Amino acid sequence: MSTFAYACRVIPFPATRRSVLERIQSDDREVRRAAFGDLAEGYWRPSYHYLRLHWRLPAASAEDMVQAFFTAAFEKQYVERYDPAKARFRTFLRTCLDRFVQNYQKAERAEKRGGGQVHLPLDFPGAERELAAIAVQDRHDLDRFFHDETVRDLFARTIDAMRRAYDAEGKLIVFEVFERHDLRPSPDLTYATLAREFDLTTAQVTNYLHAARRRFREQALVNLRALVGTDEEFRDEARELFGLEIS
Amino acid sequence: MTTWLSNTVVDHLRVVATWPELPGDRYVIERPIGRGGMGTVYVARDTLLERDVAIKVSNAPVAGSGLDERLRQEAQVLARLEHPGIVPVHDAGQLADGRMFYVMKLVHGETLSAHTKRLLGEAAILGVFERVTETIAFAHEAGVIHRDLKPSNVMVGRFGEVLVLDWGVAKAIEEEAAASATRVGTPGFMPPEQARGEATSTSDVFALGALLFWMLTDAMPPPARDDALRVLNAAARPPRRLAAIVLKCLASEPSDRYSNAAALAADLARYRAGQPVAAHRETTLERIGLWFIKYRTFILLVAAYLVMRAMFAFVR
Amino acid sequence: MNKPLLGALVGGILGVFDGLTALVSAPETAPQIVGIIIGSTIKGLIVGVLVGWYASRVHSLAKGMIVGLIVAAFFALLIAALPSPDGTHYYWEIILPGSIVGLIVGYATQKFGTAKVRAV
Repeated sequence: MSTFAYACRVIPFPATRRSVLERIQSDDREVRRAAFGDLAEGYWRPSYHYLRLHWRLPAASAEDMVQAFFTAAFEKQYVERYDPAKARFRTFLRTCLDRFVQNYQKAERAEKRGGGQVHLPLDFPGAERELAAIAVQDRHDLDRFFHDETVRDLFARTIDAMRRAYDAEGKLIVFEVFERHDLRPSPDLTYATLAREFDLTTAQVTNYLHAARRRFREQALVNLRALVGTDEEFRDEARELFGLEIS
Repeated sequence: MTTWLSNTVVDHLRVVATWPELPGDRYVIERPIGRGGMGTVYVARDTLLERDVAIKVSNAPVAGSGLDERLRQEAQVLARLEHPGIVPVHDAGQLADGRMFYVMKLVHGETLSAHTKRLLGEAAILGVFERVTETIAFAHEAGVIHRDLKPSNVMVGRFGEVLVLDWGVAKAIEEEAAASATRVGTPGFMPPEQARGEATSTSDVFALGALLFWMLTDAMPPPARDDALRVLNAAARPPRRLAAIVLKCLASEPSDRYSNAAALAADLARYRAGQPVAAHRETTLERIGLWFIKYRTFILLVAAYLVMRAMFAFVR
Repeated sequence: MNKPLLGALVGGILGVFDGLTALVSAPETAPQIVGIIIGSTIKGLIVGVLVGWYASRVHSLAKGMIVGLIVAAFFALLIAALPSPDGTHYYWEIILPGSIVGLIVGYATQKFGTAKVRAV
């Protein structure tokens, strides 16, 4: 996956969602639980891929490990130990995961699922299918790999949320145009072709794409904010991801 | 079930999520083609005239900043300078977020860096270089200095047209004199006085000399004259008059260079016509040689006539 | 100066010179030198006008020189066909240098002089 930045721009902080660190430090247990829910939602898939490809765990073991890790992270307050000065949050999380796996294997026992655990209905079969599509060369740089998988999952969840939102607003056509052009890009696909395909004008295609891309960016930033430790890290991630300056 | 996104799609989304939102629906961004310090250039489709254009968008973090102002000035300079060697501006405006953009002709071709590799011989190189010089001479005549001439800012189009690009740091000559010292330009193509923020038309002459040096030798000119001459002779072995022209452009003192690009262009034309050049004082022998080269056909015919007459006299 | 006039000038001057050189290459023709020079000059003038006229119509250095060569050689042949008083013919001594003169006139009229530009 390439890294680049175009059109450096300043945009304001997303209004919703504080950083995960702020929410996890909340006095409200429900806020803390929700924060962990978001954390798990944002990182379980990259963690699963990481466990399968780097630790070479069998699928069943990797599933158990992911559930156990996030449960332990919640109960044993891993996140509160995060020091922004030392590393990015995802690097910290990956390191925690590495240590967790090492200790887990040493003890040779699995955390039982049951009361008190944070349990999310995770699509492990889907994550397993995705493994085949991950290029071999992507797996060598661990930090890069974990980052790329996090970004991939972030974008995928954003797109899924967009689809649901547009559907609920009765504007699914906007999403479908966006999906056709930007999620299934093709060198021969022009705005004119799209217009014919969807029975729209070229102007409508242009406007729909602009609107969808703007919404995608805004929603992705909101989701990103929930995955990072501090505002500073969020600014860095936004700059690296989109070339944007967050003020 | 969560959507699976390939690396290609993820990369594509990262780019399109930050594409500029142009007003109206006339121009449709298709892809980015380059990013400089001041702006990013995109290929776009002009849906009204049904042609591809290039759109340069300010990299300004906020609307109305210094970068925006420079982009506006660049567009105005380009609009003012109508010349075959300068990319024409079609339109300009503001994005939805207030930043500046302008629309210009999309040049299909290659940069000078790529083109020079395919040029064979001095005549071909000088042919291209002369067009660059004429363009800059036109700008100087209009009171504008470029200040950032270098191979990547020169393009050769598919019909052989030579275009000077990126007038983003160009300045009116009077403005440059009056302004506080601002250092702009590219090391190697920037004369000492421009590095101090005191650029004039002779600064462009220096850059032109460095450009010609690079075209002849595929190397940057060393600061010392003797070293430059040594590199020139080792790599290209140009005639003395041409080497003198190059070195005159690269003189460290502005007063020792050509006063502007027109003077350089005139001397180059004299060189190509086999005439004496201002940069080099020929010896008597060199002058005779030049004269002989210029009239060689005539001289050889007369010589053949005289030889023939002498032969008949001898045979008799 | 237009090309036919330039051709006449160059051809005439070279014709005079060409006639004079007969004194060197064929000294026995000295008694007839005035006639030789006049003849050579007239030949040079005619060749010059014709080649100059051609140059005003056709702008090609190679073609101009070839035409000059052919026209000059033709007229030189006419002159060379005339016997000297003692009956000697000086074919090579007249035609070869005369042809080179034609080449020179062809070159000069292609390179210099002004041609009429027809309005379109």
